[in-house]
Amino acid sequence: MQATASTIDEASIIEQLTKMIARELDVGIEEQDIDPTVPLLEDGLMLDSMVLFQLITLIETRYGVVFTDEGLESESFASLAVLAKRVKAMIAARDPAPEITSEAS
Amino acid sequence: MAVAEMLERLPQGDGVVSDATLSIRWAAIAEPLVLLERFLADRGVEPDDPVLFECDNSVPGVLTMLALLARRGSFVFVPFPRPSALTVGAPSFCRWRLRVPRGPLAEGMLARPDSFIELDELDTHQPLPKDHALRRGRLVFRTSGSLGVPKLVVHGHDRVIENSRNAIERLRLDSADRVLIPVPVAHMYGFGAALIPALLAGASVDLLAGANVIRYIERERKVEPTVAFLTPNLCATLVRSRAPRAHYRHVVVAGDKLSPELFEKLETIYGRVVNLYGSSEMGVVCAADPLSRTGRRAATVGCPLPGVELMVERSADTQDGVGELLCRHPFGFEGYVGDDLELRSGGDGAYRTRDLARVEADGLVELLGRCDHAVKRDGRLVPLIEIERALERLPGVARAAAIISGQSMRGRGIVAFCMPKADAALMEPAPLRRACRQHLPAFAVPDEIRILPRLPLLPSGKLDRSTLQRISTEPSRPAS
Repeated sequence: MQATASTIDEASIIEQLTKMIARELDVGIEEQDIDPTVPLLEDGLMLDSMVLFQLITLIETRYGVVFTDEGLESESFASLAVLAKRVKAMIAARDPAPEITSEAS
Repeated sequence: MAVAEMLERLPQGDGVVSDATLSIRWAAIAEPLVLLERFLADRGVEPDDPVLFECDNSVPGVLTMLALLARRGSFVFVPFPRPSALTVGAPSFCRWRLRVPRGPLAEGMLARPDSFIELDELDTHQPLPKDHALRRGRLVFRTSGSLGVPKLVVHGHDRVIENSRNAIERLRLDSADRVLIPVPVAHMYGFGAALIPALLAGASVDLLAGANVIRYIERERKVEPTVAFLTPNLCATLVRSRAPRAHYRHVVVAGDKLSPELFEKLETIYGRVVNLYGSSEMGVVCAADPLSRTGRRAATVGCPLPGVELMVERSADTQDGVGELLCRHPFGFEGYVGDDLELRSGGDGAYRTRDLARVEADGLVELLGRCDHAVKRDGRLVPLIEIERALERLPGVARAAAIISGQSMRGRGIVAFCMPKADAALMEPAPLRRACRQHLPAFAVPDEIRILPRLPLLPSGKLDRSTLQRISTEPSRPAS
């Protein structure tokens, strides 16, 4: 089930992204070793080009959002915390009227 | 004097070489090259001291490379090692290790070589005899070693530059081009097919280090390249639902096969896809003509470059004109250098590429994988790539890999691994195996098919066949 802007906060997105990286990407990183402030690329989790691509695809599928070319910026992937903020904004843009209550998830 | 000529020619164009931070006009290049030459001399690096040169794609890296070429120094050219990579020792004939990391870069640093070069004298150094060929004018590439031990491939400076000059016309590069290079310039593809031809053509060059989909798209937005040099893996990450980018004339792709589906998607975004074939030993061998609209452009790598002779060595057990590709190249490598420091030539005759190929009536060359990736079945040679292509034509299969494992009634056994498409329904091996009979003769149908959520890849992005080999001997488990 897709999350909606009104039902999801950044903390839960961070938690979901952490699980995604530890369980669904083939990177051999444990959940407890993922610090949301650490960079995702060099000097941090060191996600390589293919893994980064998988992460983008997983996020798009899971949250029903699309990174446009303009939206694919290094800054958005500076850390999980920053990425979660970006994903939340994309969910909000997908659901233009967040006041309308959706079914509980 | 190809190198001298190249360096003399550079300042005449109005091209620019740039990276994420720095840019320099070719017309202004003489000054930093003089400073680099002085730096090397001051630090005691003699022109006949071979250097291990570890370099990322950056303006300082390319200038340092040009300075080494200009002083006719021998160097082993390798990408700056990643922290995760296994460390490979320096060849014993190298006296110095010269490193240009990718950053941090800052404006003005080109005037101070000590701000971007790390120089160490190697304690593994074993001096070469004074007149040894490797002391002067050699450019050495280290092959990726995906099939075992890395090899040191030795080129003469002048010939390797001529190899690149030979590719300019086919690639239709000219001084108005903006060429984006996200592949390592310390490998033959980035150096010999991309960087040097672009420089010789007087084009502008933008260097991208640590390429991934985000960095590529960011840089593409800024540079608006007319031509880019890509690998199939990078391509696979770039075909997201993107609008066509009108500034491209074409993208060049080398390294591995593109699926017909990926080829088609790339052409809708980038205009044209130019398949290129070459190797660390032979440089650029074949490339498609960007303007050609005929022939099987997705399946072939174009015709040989001028002066390059190709022969397909057939044997009794090959069909459809398939055999090992032999190559005579006017600007090929000199030889390999091993631990004994002898420069062993690749043979006086034609170079055995160990690639299987077929040449079509119109001269277009179709590559069918490595010779080691072929198997005798019912007495006939089956290139594994034919099996992989057949599987990839089936609905729901994103990528397939076939390997030789065990025995079957027809000869060596074939196990194929299929990675389902993201949106594919649950996939079962038995119906897949039945379905691939439509596209393959009975003797080529794999004995076993397994479904894997992802195919294992090497750090280079190429398929990790040794891991598949290991998996194939383990009992199969239902796909999760």
